[in-house]
Amino acid sequence: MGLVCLGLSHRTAPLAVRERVALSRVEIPEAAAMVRRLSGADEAVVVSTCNRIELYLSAAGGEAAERRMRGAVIRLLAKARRVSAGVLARVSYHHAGEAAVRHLIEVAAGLDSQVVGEAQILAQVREAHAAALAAGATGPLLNGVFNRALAAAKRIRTETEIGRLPASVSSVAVDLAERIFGELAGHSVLLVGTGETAELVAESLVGGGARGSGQNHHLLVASERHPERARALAQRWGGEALGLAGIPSALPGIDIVIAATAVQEPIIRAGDVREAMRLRHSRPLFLVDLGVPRNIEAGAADLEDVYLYDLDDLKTVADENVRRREAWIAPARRIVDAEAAAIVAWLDSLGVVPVIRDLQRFGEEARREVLARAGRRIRDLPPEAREDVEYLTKALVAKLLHNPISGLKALAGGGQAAELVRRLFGLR
Amino acid sequence: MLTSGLLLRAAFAGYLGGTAAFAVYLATRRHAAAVLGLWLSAAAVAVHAGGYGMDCAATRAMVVVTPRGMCSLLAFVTAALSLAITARHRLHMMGAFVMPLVAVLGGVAVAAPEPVVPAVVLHGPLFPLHVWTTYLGLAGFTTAFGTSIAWLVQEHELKSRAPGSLMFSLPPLDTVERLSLSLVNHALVLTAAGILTGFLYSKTTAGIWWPQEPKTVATVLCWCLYAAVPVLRRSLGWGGRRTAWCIIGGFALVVFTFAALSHLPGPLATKEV
Repeated sequence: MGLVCLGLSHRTAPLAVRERVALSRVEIPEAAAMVRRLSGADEAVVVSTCNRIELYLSAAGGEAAERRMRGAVIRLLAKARRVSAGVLARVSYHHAGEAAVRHLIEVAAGLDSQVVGEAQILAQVREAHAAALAAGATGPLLNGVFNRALAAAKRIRTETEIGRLPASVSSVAVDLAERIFGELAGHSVLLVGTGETAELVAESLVGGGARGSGQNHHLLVASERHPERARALAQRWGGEALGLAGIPSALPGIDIVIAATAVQEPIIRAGDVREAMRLRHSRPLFLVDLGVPRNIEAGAADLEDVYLYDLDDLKTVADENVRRREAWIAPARRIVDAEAAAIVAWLDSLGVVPVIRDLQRFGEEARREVLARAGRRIRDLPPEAREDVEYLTKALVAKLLHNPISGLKALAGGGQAAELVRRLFGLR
Repeated sequence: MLTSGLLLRAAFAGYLGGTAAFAVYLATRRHAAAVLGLWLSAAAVAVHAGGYGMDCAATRAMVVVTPRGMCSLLAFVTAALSLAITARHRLHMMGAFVMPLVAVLGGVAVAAPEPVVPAVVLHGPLFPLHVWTTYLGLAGFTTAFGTSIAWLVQEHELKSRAPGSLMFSLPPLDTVERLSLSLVNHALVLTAAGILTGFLYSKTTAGIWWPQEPKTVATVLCWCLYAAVPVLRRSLGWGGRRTAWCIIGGFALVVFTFAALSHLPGPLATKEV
């Protein structure tokens, strides 16, 4: 039985193709079941994200079967998504056996992602497996491979820093806030502007637990031009809206300011911050200036206990973190090697499972046959003696088969050994 | 033959090894380095306990007045405290900032001459109580010094607007500051207990409350400086960098008290162990 991975990703296919073949979350279980049914595979899992679509299939029959399966899947996808089969064949890749296992671990760990180490992919792979399992499209092979590969990916994320260093502007801002305040719960946030970027950072912060201002326990949203939108945003997070003129008086009660509005002059002056810090009694203030031109006067950075980061600073940190993540690729690949070898060994051991099962069945049938032949001699025995005979014959069969079974397990992957055992014991 | 000097040297080597491992952890954030640092330091503390116990057994008193005794006990208590905090709060960076101090103290203890049987032994039930409370307090101040340095490093990283990889190895500013303040508050209580039991001991043995020796005066001054940290925090809202520098200043006075004044003549000089 073999494992095959067929797919296309951001590395091989342009966005125009990827967006055509991408599947929504609700389509994935049905797709897994359909691929299994129509491709001739025994088991199937479909992983679909914005950057890749991959099918993990298991089937018996060697390379010829793999080729047939690949052709069937491409035709199926081409027909379902109205993309040329030739294009799909050109931009797709396939891995088999150990290469497929390695690829799955690398995908789940984020090593194959556009931003190395991105966090969502692990959950997406887990969900893809769960969806296929729920649709009845998986069996012991893919279940075993996916569970082990997911555990391996988790190990990579735990033992390396590949996914720990934030790599986007919003995640860097949240990480810096955590480096200053520790837990973000209970800290107050002022959002200046109602644009998408500010909203994204604020959402990450609120998601991280920061909410409410020091006085009224609400997130404050300041905007002059879009008061309605400011109110809507504030309402969404249980906060309050205010005008730009209200910022200086609100600052002393604020821990984190995210400023991202279009203005020609800074709207938060160093003097305002100085005055706020006088009232804050050494409580730190984190200022995130995402505006271009800048919203916060640069001089505020010189004040004690004030931490000011503008867009360039955050981008520099994010880029540096991407570089640092890449430095962890080599240690991560060493874990991939070790884990893939363990999974392949497990896969190999699956090959001898039918032989072991047949051997045990042979032993049990032989035992029953001998007992049946003994006929009356056994039936006439008292019940206790019959139980003893049952026990002794079972123990004898187990003892005789112990070494052949142990040997088969030790030689897992050795097809010749399995064949030899079949011949020696006359197994079909 | 197993001697206290040999055990002390082994403990010193363990502290040095622990320091190196924690430094590697700080630079690379490899968890294995932190675990190695913890094991080396824990082993050093265990060996150190044996060595110090042998010193005490040889002199039949707590060895605390000579440079070897003082540094050895302070290194031992500080290392044990640091390990306890590391284990409780899972702050592996503690080792990188506290173990170097422990290694220096251990080095001084190793270099100092072996203790001799004293002419007059300091004994009585109050004396061990005085020593343990004082040294636990001093260990708290020493550890707070390490955490304050960590705070300043982390603050520098965050202030720079282009933080290096060190930032990721260090805990949040707020966590480190809380830890420093907690250490100072606990150390203040313990040192106060040490000073009071010292006065009581002086009264019961020499008949005077205030021995008027430089070390006692410096210890009280030290306590006052550290006491200013929570007082200024509550009254003037001092925190962050100012608190860190106050704690570092207090530690400078601790070092002065024990490094410089231990060589000055005083009433206890004749009873040194």
